[in-house]
Amino acid sequence: MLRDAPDPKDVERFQSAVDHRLSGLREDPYLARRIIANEGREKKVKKRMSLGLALALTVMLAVTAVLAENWPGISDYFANGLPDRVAQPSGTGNEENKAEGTVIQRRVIEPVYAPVRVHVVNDAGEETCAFDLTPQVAQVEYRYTMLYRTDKTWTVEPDISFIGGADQQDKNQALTPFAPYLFISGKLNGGSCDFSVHQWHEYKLDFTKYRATVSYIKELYLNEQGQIVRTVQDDMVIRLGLVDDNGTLPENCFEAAAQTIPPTPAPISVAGMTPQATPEPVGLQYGGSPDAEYYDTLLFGAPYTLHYTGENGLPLEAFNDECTNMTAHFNRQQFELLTDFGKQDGPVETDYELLLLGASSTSDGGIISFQQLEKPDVTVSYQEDAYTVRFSGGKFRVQYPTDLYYSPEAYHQTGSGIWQFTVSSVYLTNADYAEGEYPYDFTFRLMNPLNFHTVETFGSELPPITHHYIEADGTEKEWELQADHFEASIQEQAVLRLVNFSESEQVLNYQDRFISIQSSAIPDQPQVTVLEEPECVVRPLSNGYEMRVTGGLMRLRYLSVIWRQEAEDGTIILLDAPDGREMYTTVEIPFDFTFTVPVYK
Amino acid sequence: MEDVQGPDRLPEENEAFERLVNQHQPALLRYCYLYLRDQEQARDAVQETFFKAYRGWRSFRGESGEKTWLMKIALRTCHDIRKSAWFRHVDRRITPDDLPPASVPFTAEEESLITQVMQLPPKLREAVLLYYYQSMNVNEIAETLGISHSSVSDRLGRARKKLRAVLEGRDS
Repeated sequence: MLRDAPDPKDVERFQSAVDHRLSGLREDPYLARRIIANEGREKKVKKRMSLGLALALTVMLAVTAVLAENWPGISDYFANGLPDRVAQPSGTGNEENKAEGTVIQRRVIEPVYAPVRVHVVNDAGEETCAFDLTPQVAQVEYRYTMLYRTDKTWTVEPDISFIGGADQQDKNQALTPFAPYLFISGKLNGGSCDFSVHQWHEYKLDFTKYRATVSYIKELYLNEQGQIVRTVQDDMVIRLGLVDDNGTLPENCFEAAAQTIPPTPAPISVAGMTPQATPEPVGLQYGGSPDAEYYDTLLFGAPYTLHYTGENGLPLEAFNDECTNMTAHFNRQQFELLTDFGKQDGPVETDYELLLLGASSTSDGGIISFQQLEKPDVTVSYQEDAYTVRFSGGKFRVQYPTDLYYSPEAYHQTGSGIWQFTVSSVYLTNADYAEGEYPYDFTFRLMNPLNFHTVETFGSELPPITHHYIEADGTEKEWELQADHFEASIQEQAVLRLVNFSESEQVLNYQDRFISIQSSAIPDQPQVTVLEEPECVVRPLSNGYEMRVTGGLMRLRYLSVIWRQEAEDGTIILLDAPDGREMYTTVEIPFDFTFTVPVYK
Repeated sequence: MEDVQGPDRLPEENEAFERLVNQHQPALLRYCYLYLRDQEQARDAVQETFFKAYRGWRSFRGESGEKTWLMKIALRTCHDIRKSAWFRHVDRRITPDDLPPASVPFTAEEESLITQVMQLPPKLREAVLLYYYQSMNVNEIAETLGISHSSVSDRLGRARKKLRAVLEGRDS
């Protein structure tokens, strides 16, 4: 008979059992102080930071988090160290920079080291970034650094990149294996590690080969990339930071996250030595555990080359700047382009490839390969700030590896201080889909406007390219491009949604664990867990299936430890933290994405 | 040591908070571990619990006692964690080898009790922990969990059935 209150003997016995058997659970002796220290900074966080979920496509999918080479500040950041205004202590007070609606606030509490507290608020658009770092204290025997809480502020939107490349792609060639990356990049500086994650969209046009050629959506893919950048000076330390080229954020925001993978031996180095002066071991690479589970990425690629001879030859600048509505249809022979400027049509004179889907595992398990067999008809329309793309009539061959799984890798580039963490993944659908040839027919929409921001990267090695086009009055005009290529970056997020699938006879709802990134090969590798289960709907299609994942929340948790000693000669030695004094940082990332796998039997 | 003090807090408040953490962290950690069956998750839960407690420190009136107050926070925190897809799908079948090494001697019976409790379904485990470990009565558990008195009794009854072997071992 159950008593309303427990028998005191049972309670005593139970408590005794718990206290004895679980006596080895390590407590955090500094928990109270960290909480107290953290309390004040949390109030500075204005609102949630909206990073774009990348892990969406991490999981299958991808975060595009990247370090833009075409962003000078980032390039400098990784190549040469932190930009001065972030890297160098600039005082103990608050700083605020404003530029075009963007506000960055930085607070340097302790000037001995680099900024230890960064708040970034990007008021442009809806983006807000906030980093909160615990103050560093110079004259203490030991300390923790970083406890930062973003209060569930991190998201990384799925990213889409359009990259045009050379036109010389062989017809029917198998897709290049595609591996997603998650870039978690950082650079240590005087006891801290700055890192950044940057997402952007890129669109390139290549004019090197054809006269009056428009290369349109040469490739479209989703990816994630990760990189850890650090000097050998401070292997043990983490700091969060946010950097850009001029101390402000672009309108579409730039967010950062950091991770340090401590090397095996400690201590590592002494402050005052430059990274270059400190010898480094040869490149280190950590392979992922074959047991690790992961989901795949999705790669869309659609390289096309169109030759147009319409009467309303349209300079590209005008198109990019002014065109608000566009519909394009092209098949194996010809294309038709309707824009605000009129209609253009002409033959498709060159081969083009449609890359639908790619996935690979870089470590083991084989590679899924896709081979374009028949080019599809394609209709692209751009209206109301959204692209709709339909592919029909195409056929591709798919080959699945026998074993599919995910494997993370980390690579330390000798001499450069660069760590690269790669998450490679493959599809988990191997058993159900045999190798074969599959037709496809699907439509997707690119939501949100894709803003084209020209990046001037004109080269000079190749001679100028002259384009001829015909004006409405019949006169032929010339347009010379003084560059070997032209790049346009789309610096605004684009949400990919696949819609209008032809047959949806059954909706299969299921819920499952989404991702798990764990590897014993890399110490203190961040743990990625799903806190809130997303709604995941799989809908069989006639030509594959669609998966929609919404409402989930992911947690990224990683070790962030500082143990600092000051030697008698005043040098600072950074050590690994002793047991029980680790500090974990947790970032929570909501995600929401949709993707399809166009697979046919 | 550095002087760590949150803003708008009186020194005595922080001292009291430190005492609160130091006093209750061990029990909370064990409780969260029993509940979540994962050390790191348990530490997360404890940290989150004390974060919440610190924020709500001034609103705590002492009506229910510190321990009960913290336990309710911890319970909600663990509950949130347990709801996650990740948590649900991780294989958390506990064996004695999975338990953290103990720092004090223990008996085989104690270890068996721990592992069997941790193998209980979450709702039953929750009730057992509150009943036997936190020494709450049925009414208190019902209030804490927001369920009826009869539901609590039902859960405890079912849990006792599952724990019969180890309990009978005790009785014998």
